[in-house]
Amino acid sequence: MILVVLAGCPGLKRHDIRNAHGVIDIDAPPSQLQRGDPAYHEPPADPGEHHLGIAPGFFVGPGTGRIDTAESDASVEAGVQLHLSYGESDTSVGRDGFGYPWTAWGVSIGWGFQAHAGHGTIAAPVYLEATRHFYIASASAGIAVYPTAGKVAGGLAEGVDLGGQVTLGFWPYMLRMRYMQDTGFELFGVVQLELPTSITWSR
Amino acid sequence: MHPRAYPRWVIDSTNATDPAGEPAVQWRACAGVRAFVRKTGKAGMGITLEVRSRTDCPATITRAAVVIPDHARRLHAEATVPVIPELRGRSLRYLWMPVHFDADELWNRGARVATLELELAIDGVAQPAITWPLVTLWSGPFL
Repeated sequence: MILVVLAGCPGLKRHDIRNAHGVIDIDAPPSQLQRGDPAYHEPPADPGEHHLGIAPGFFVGPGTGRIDTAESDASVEAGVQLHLSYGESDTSVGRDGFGYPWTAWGVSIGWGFQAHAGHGTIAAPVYLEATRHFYIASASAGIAVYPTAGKVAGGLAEGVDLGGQVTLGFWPYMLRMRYMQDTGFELFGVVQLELPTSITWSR
Repeated sequence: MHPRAYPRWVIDSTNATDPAGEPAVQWRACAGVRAFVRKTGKAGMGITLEVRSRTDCPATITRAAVVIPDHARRLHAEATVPVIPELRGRSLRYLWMPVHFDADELWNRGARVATLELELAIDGVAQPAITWPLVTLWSGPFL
């Protein structure tokens, strides 16, 4: 939660000055048309904002499924991820508010490595997911590609292994499920920590 | 929570004030005019024109526009010219004049100054144009 709160820190949030004007009907005369006060000015309405969220992070956690041997199929996967998301709000956030889009669509791309008991480490898949998040809950789906193929039993085959990946999250905990062409189902439970930043600009 | 601030166009009357410090009335023959920007938004600006006369004065506004220098070109945003009601004797009238232009696009391109131009005709005779310098006031994204 500390990292989520950091999203509101001035150094991690940038307010772009594009589209700075408010919304007002300039065809309708103001109620105080006859005021001779040079300083009188009718304030416009808030046009709302665009929010672009940028969240680099890392994850680590245990899983099973990639390596199928008689001894053990347990492993630990660790890696880095970059999450980009976009959302809009009907009101401007303000200087002290969170600029990160709380409900948004986005994309996540990640890569890491897996450590397998008795079989050393191998490259984890590169994955690309479409993500929908609602505050700290999220659901993602996409593709995963292992840079090597085949079951690890007496050596790794060459080539790539392609599959699908679904990730369900309740930050910072993620349940990651894959089905790979060569090795079938995999399941990993990871802890994922991110440093969210944001860029906001007016609609 | 710090609410948002919005840019606003104002008449820069620094060099054109009367002895009381108010924006000076611009006289053309029997008609005098002052302008006040009352609304600023994404769709442009809305201006109140204060029109006064010393005697019976058949005045009409023939043209009004906001001229905005935008890099190498000058954008002319023509105003919706209001009709001046009959001015009899010493009269004072307030008129509403909207000026439509894409304020966001010009803001994003860095345009912060402009000129309001207004041309009058008194009994059909064209008068020298009246101009007011406009500037944008903005303290920053948040109050």
